[in-house]
Amino acid sequence: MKRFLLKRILSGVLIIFISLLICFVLIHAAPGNPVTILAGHDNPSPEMIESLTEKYGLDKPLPMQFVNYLGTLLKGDLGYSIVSDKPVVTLIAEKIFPTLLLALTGVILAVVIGTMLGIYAARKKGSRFDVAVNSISYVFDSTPGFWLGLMMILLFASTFKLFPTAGMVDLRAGYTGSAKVLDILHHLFLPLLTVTLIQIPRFFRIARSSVIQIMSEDFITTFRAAGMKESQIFRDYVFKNAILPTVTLFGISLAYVLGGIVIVEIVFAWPGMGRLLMDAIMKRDYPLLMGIYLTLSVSISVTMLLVDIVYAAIDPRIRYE
Amino acid sequence: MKKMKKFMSLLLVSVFVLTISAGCGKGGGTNEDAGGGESSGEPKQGGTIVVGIPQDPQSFNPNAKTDDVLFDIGQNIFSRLIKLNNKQELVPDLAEDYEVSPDGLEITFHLRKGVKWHDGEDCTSKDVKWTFDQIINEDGQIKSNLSSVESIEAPDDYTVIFHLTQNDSNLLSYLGWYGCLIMPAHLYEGTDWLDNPANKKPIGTGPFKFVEYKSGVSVTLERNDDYFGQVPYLDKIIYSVIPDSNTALQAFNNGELDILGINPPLSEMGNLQANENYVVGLQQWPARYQVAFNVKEGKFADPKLRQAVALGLDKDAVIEKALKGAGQRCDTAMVSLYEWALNTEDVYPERDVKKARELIEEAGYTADKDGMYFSVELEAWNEIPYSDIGTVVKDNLKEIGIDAKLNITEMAAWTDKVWVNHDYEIAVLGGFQGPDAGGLSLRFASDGSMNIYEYANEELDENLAEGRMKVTHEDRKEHYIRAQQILIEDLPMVPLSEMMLVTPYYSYVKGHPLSDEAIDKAGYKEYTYIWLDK
Repeated sequence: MKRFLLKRILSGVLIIFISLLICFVLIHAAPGNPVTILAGHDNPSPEMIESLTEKYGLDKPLPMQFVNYLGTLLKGDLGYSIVSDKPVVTLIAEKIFPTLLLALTGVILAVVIGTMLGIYAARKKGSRFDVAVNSISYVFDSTPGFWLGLMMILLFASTFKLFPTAGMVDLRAGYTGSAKVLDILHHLFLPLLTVTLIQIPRFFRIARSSVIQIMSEDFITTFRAAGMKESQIFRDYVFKNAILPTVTLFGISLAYVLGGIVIVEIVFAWPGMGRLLMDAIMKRDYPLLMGIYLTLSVSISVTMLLVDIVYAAIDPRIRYE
Repeated sequence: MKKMKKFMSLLLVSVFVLTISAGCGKGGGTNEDAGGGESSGEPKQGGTIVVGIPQDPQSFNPNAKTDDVLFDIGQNIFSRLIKLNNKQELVPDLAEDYEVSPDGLEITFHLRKGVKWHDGEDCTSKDVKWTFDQIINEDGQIKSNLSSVESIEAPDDYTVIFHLTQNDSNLLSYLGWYGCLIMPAHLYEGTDWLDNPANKKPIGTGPFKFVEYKSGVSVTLERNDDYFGQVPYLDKIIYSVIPDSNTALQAFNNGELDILGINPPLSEMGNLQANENYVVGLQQWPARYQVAFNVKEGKFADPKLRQAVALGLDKDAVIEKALKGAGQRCDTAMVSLYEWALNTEDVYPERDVKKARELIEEAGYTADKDGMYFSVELEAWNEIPYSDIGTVVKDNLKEIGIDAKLNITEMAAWTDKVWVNHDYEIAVLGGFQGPDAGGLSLRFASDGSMNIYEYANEELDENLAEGRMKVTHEDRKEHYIRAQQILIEDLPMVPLSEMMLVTPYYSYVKGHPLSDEAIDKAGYKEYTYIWLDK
């Protein structure tokens, strides 16, 4: 196990390095330049463009820029945003909490609800419930997040006036203490509902199909023939086997939690990482983009490692030697 | 030698006093919304307004880097020497008045006395001098606008003198525009202005004080009771960051915003105007949507083809279909706001599809079986209304036999291709044409910073330079009239519509910068005169 961990950590570091390199090449290959975008289309100043290009080292050859970047990175410094001159670490740190609150809660709710619905539907395969939930799951799976979000706003905020339209807090009221927590939850509801609804279908379908598959295996038929109680068969044999693909999918979803709900964050004006990423891409803010990609690749590597460890714990067939 | 020269000019010059209001043209052309201005009584003290902004401000340093979001907010935190009101006229701000010497080589500003920074320090000529020196030395965003400034002198606490290398009639408007908000020297002097604590907690002299900024959420300002001008009625302004314009519109409809603040989706214009709880402020901005040509390379280097396009464009269709009515037809070569220098005789031709096709044939093209002479890529970026304008223009071009393929790209890619490298044949864009008739130089002079047309005409350059060097409107006028005539002949671009800024707000918001009661005195998006009638 120790050797396995060491190997996985080393390969993780290598993967992070390679993904950084790829990101660096790709974002610099994309047309556009942060300084000319910054200067805008109303009276750009050639002097400002020249002086900022020099200040941020954008006039140097690309390989040199990459080496410079790695150099500061190794000192533990993610650098400064070209657009706002704030440390990249600060910009990212400010956004992590709102994103985790929305995305992590969303994934957890989706995995619990989706899996429960999936198992129930599988056990009642062919029932009206199964058919209904199955078809609804396709609808939500194919619904674009931004559209669903806007519909939620139109329905629950504009028509029924039950929830606020956008943002994370009521700016006019400016609550503090426990009222603030309630206020954030109130604002969280619609984006969370949207994020959860779009993610439920995958968890639903994977749970449903793996339960159905395990239920039709020979050993289950044998248990049934031997007269074992249906609930015991399910609890001890079906569930444990059927949950494995869900764990994989949950791991993957967790890994993308930080950057995966860009569109929903934008629609609901939720101040998270996704929006930061989108802005950084639009403005070609290279240091900020690299910082976000680094955070994402580290979090993906770490969650993948955790998923592997969890596997070993729940599946006796898997042992790392 | 230089000193001698200055002394001589000082001696020779009999000072020619311009009161500020007389120093600028009649605004005109600004569309105020009917009913927007009438207040139903005495202004009420107090209250908070929430205003939408599409993004976070990048920083709170108003002069170092271009930032459209901070431009809106900064109007309320900082002051300028003089400012452009919402009719694009210059009005006093920190400077009570100014004088221009007859040879135009000296502009003397007389500052108000007793102005305090938000931290209690006195605001003096030292701050003004420092601000402009800093912009020039550190390549601030408007450094190119200050190219004629030789030095800035602060002989006493309340006088600032700009010494120019030549008369520059564009300069005053530039000073009233953006990127030159006066910053506190006592906090910035001797530091890196990109990395100063005040960039996070700005100190200004404006009508509102900065309270707090929450990343991705909001910026809060409160009333400055020590403001040198009329002290605002409002207690607070809260700017709420809402990136998606559809969401912003819903937030506005649901009462979460008092002023939309963000350009609404134009398809919603009708609904907004029909709602009697709203006022839809329409403001002509000295900018226009246009079709630009590369006049040096590619097919449109041939003037006949440019004339054909000018004849083929259906401006009314662009305004109706792409801008949903939020436009104003433009046939003159300059934005119509600067009436004193507007050439209304030499204008773009009326639409004539038949004549356009004849011109293309004269240029040596023959139509294929579909009636198309040639094909071309029409560049536009992927934002409303540019993509919609592109679609209408593409259809117009098809009618005159140009098979245009609309190439819609992301803004960054468009900027690189069209704006920086001029690697295009024909493109759709918008853009500022001011802040004065002199703004023509930026777009059309052969060394203009926004001359993306690769356009160069010596006579035009001379006229623009003369217009800039002469002092009075009468003397400048003839040069701009001639410049517009040349532009109509050469056609480096064809304007489609004047740009109208659409600003919906609730009708209980009185004293909005676009309303009758504030339009003359408030700067762009300056909320000093707002009070809530509810």
